Amino acid sequence: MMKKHTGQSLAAILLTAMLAASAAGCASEPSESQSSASSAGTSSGSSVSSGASAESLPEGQLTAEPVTLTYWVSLDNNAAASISSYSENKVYQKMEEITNVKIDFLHPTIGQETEQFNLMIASRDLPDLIEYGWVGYDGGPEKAISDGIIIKLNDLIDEYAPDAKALMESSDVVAKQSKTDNGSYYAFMAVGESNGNTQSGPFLRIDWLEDLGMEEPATLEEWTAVLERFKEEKGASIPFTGDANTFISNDTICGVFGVGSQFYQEDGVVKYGPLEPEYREYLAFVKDWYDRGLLDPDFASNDSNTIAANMTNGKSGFMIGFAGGAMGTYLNAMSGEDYDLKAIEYPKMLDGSDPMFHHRAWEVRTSGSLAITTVNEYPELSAQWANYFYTEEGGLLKNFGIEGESYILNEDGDPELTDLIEHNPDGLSRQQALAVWSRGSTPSPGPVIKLQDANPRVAETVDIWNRYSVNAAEVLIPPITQTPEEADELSSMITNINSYHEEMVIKFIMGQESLDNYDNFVEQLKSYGVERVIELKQAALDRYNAR
Amino acid sequence: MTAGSKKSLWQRVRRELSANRYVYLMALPVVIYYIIFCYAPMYGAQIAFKRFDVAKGIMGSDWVGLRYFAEFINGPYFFRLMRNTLLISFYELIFAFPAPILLALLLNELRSEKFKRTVQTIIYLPHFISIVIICGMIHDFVSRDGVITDLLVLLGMERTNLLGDPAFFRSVYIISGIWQGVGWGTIIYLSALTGIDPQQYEAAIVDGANRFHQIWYITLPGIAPTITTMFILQLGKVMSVGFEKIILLYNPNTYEVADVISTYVYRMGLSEGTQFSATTAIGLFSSAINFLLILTANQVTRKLSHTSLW
Repeated sequence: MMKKHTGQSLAAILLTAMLAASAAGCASEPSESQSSASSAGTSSGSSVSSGASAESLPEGQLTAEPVTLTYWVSLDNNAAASISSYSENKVYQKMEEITNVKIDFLHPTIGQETEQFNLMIASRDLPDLIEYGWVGYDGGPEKAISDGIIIKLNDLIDEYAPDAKALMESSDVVAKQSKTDNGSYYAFMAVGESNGNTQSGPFLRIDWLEDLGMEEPATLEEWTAVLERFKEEKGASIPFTGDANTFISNDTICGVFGVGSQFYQEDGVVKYGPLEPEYREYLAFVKDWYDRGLLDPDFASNDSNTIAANMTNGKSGFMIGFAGGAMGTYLNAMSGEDYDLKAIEYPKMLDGSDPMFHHRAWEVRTSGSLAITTVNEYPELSAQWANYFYTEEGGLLKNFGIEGESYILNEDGDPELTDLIEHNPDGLSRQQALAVWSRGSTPSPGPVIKLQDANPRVAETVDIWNRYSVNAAEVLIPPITQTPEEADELSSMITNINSYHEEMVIKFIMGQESLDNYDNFVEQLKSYGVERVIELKQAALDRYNAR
Repeated sequence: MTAGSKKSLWQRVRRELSANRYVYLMALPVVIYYIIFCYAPMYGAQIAFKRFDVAKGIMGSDWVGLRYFAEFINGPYFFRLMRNTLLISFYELIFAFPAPILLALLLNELRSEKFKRTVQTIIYLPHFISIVIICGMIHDFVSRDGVITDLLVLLGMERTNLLGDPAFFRSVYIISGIWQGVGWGTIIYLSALTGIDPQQYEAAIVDGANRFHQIWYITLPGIAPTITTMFILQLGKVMSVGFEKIILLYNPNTYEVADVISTYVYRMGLSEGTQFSATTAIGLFSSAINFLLILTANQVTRKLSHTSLW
């Protein structure tokens, strides 16, 4: 009898434990997001009045009681070299000192940013602030607002962020790119202030070129001649290196043939490169390089490390890449060696006219835009906080860090980076040091100001690559947004098209698919709905132009 | 049904629970794990039949019926994905599945305990290395100037990056999989081998059986139930082949042979697109096929060998 009784109570305990555990499991996610919100709530009860009582606070301070906001942003690769969170970044430490607002950073795993962003949105486990390329939100930023993810900022900006408003309306182009088709402000944008819109382009081993007594190549024909002699006389086994994107989504070479690698515009009409006959000529041209061993045969599987190795160990001497990220890094790594790289101009068009297609950033750098989410309990305070980056002091802080430490103002009043950044004692590169002392290594909310690189080779790329970059505005499609209905229709078509295009370009170049079958390729693209995609993009472009 | 029989059932359950309470207690964490991580998320599978809208949530999204299933089956990649998934699984069944059985048989024949243990330790090692690192190593070994490529070039192959060439992808995938998993896989068979009565061998030796006879007539039949069980379980995974490893090894050039259902779902659902509904539908579709395969395999083996999962 006794034994039976124990069994009974044990069963009851089991059952309760099971129920409790499963209930805890179900509740785990919401409770987490609640706790982040409530921790912000308990730490400050008086923030609602923060705007009103600003006069009584010390200058710059936004709230009497400390407030904590959660902030989702991908940690820049350069920063990840020495810190694991932006809470160690000097900008935010200084900001906390000034404003009394503490930021808790949430960083996605590097390389998994898109995946983790999508998961965060789907689970609706939102932080207070999200810095992301909101143009890429499925259905556009307007959809993010109607989905209840982020809030429309128009009123907030008018009232609490005058400096941000001023910069985001500083020119027609900037104003267009800062808003949605409906005129909604959805984020605090990163606005480019310098002329360095093209930061990637072709560069080559200038020491080899000089040895060979050759001129800098200006046309694709001359490129080929250079590659041939690099191979024959400089022992470069694969003179031109790159990755799949060099031929799939980079316009530098196919632009010479007058077509974009994917979607582009001609006199306001949206086109898709592969549907144009010139695209076939482009593929035939690259295939010829491949067949003659001028192009890295492994380009399809290369990553940035392989490319870096090829460029620094003498296997390759010519590529298309970023000034700081690729060229500057290789030059640093090889400093003291018999090694030199130099940027060359984008190649002339086939008819000898100036290049049109450039790999170009937009005036508003869409990658670093800061939105306020619907769970944020302090939207006014958040707007005031973000606005600081658009003030003069805030702009200096976010781009160059702390005055007297990471930068100084010279006699003209212009900022100059100190040796802490230029020749970092801990051996960090300039970009890596900037990423710790400022947010100047990648676009972030506020003005984006780039100082001339200390390395003259990297510094001169700004002039060389930007000589014709203004032309690109005529052919590239600006950051347009699709309506939710369009986006729903687009999403399945576009992934199939991109996937197929990517595969086929590689197969054509490597000869696994004959160019005789090019027409089938075009037909197949049409069967995946590419013409409908063009229509939808055209509609979005028309709306953009009408903004 | 009367109240009396109901009560007696409840009493029987209670008696069972109290008699085996420690067994049930031990099973509890596993049960909880399955409830939380496998059953609770299942309610989300309904978005396969809905047009999932972030704003409306899982329950609130609009029903679209079988739209996403139809899109997938009529879509451009259906045939290729099915072919790749089935082929890679099929090759795994043919080459990778028997490998640990053979190795276990070989180990079982070793007479030096010390040597046997050393070998076991060495072959278990790769199992404990993270798949990411394994794939990094594979990338290096089979690249254009990797050691394995060098070796193959000595044997007369033309120098190439094995992972860049669709012709080699499946071989690299299967062979590296065998290398990593074969040692660990032997454990279950070795433990099955210890369950065979040594008297059978003694009797066989008296009857004049040699080593091969012993393996064929005693060892193999002895571990046949284990083999069958493992085989059925393996069949249940046919459609969910190699998600992480393929993602780490493939590139656009090898999609033709390497892109399987799970990698396609990953690309469309998370990395290149956000088609949550469409990819859930595909996932559900392949789970359904897995389920069917397990059912069929179980039926067939029960008929043929009287060994089955249930």
